[in-house]
Amino acid sequence: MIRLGLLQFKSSIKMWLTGIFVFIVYGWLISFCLTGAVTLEKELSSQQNNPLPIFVMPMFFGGITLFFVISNVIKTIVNELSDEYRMWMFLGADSRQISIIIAVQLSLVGFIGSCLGYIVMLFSIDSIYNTLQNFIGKVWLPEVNFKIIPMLFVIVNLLSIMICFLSGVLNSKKILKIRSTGKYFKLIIQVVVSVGFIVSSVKIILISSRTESGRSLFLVLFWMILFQIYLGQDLIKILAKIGRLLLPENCGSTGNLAIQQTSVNASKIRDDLIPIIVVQTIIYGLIELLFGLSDPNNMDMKNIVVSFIIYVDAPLIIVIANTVSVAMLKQPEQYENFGQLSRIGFTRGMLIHERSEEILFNSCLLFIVSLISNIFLYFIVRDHLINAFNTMIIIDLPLMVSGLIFVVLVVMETCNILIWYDKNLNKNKIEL
Amino acid sequence: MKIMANKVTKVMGNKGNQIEILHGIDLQTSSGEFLSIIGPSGSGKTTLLKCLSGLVQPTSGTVKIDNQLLNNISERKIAKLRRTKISYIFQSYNLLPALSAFDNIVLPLRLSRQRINKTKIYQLMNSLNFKADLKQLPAELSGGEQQKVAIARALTMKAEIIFADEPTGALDSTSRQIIFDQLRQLADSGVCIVMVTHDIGQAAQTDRALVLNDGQVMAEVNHPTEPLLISAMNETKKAII
Ligand SMILES: Nc1ncnc2c1ncn2[C@@H]1O[C@H](COP(=O)(O)OP(=O)(O)OP(=O)(O)O)[C@@H](O)[C@H]1O
Ligand SMILES: [Mg+2]
Repeated sequence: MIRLGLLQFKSSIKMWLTGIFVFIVYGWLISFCLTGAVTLEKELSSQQNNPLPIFVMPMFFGGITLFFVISNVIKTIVNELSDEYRMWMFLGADSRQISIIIAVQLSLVGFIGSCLGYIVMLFSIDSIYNTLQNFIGKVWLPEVNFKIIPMLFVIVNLLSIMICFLSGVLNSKKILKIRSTGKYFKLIIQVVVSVGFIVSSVKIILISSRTESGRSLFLVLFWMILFQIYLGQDLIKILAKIGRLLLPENCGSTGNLAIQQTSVNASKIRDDLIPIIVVQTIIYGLIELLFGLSDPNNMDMKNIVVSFIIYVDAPLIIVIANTVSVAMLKQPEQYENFGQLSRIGFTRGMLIHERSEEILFNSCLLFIVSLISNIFLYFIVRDHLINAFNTMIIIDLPLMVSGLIFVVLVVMETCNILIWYDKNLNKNKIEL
Repeated sequence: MKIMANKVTKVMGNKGNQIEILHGIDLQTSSGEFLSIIGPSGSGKTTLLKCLSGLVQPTSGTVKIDNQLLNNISERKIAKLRRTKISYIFQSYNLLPALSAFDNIVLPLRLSRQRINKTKIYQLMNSLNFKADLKQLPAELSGGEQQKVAIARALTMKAEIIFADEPTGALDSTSRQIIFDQLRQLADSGVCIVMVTHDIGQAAQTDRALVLNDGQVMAEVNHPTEPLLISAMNETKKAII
């Protein structure tokens, strides 16, 4: 089975490598964290603040995030090669065998990615450590010398391979829709998650003390994230429909097309938005918890920065890297679309225009959903928030996140379109 | 091995735009029977073959292979059936592009962890008049060579039923004859073959021919000959007019 997986990898290596970005980033992240943790541990005896969580926790949270977002990468690749995977099934490979084939390939990408990530880490660790030192101070992060530790290289690779293999095995069954009984199961999960979300929200509204509401907010956040993961897609679908209805009948030639495209690509877009919304919610929840609900007199700015590094930096990095990876993987499909549009007379400028409008529509969706989540989180603990809590952050944070995603995607798309036109114009010249 | 289909219907298309492609088809085969399905383009031949072979689920009606109901069959069981008893030969895209010709031939054996006899396979390919290198990838083989690999796959796994959808459609007349003769020999040795074809000449050499039109069996010809088939086809045309 493993040999077959390797052969399959060899023939679709180009596709897999296109999606490698998120794996490199994860490799970089864990090699940075591991090197940091191991190096600092030696200096630890004289420390009063333990800096190890700064390095260990991101590895953990990053790993969990990777485990989940990888399903998007697998889904895109398997869709692209769906004929091939259907053929595997026609020839009698059962779901276990196919998931092993996919997992083997994913592990290989994870391996290559973590090797590259390790190399990138070697060049970047000093400057990043210095930046961190500036933020948190030398009490937390003393001066140290980072050395290459060969054992860590092996561990980094093993970790990456392990996560990829597990995620490959578990996610591929779901993606190949081998199990169609999942409908009721999903419904049950949705009901459980909704009930948990509602109960924890009602409970927190009834609470009267600030410290207690801080603790319950963790619980609400937990249920809310599950709610976003399991019900977010359906809710975004409804929102997108409403959004499309609210737009004026005629949005110009590119605008009309953009709106149609968003409805055609809707399910793919929803998959991409959810992880970003989840991370946004975690960040907002943490801000509320740390700035809004803790006592302003013994609030330690450095502690807050450390909390952020521990909880959100890794998921944020992985989620953005994943967005880039998936966008790159979708290029062939995009190119086909460009081809059709250019044949009916779309110029380069019109295409960029149309794509930007499409991305704008989705960024607005992202903004609105994030905003709704934040307003909700704000209102359930409103009575306990201390005065200094900056309510503008409710709007600022979604604005920043969706703005960032908008810019990243528009830049990528523009490059895509320019490259595509360049290639195809050259082709025409040769034909002439 | 027997196939039994009972009132098979198939509805295709997405919401709001659904059409029934097969309207209640009954069909039975016995082992060693070579059945051909002919009919105009769009009459539902491919769809019927897919329903019979368990590649798609019929919308209503039942399909049994060897007394085993294919509706609601577990994924594990159908996989086992596919690597031990059923083999498919399509018009094109029969082989996994990632695997060499040899690996494609022995894939069903590998998937069910059986031993592989290399010399036997080389002998088999010789007898099929296969001249290319078995280490080549499908993309490097001609259409006829690819079909031979697909047949060799069915032979090596000792398939008991072969579903073939215009297996010789894309080939020149010589290769066409070689491939068809192989199928004919297989049927004579006890394999059940269901073949969709546009070639009346080939259909005339099978044991039984079904004439399909607009998702219905319009005629059934036992021991068909070319004139019989042509008149059957014409009659269905008249019946429609
Ligand atoms: N996925 C699908 N969705 C909707 N309609 C379909 C789908 N697949 C096939 N059809 C329709 O079903 C009808 C029968 O298709 P089918 O492929 O079975 O015909 P066929 O007899 O094999 O034709 P040919 O001889 O050209 O291969 C056609 O009218 C086709 O348009
Ligand atoms: Mg057909």
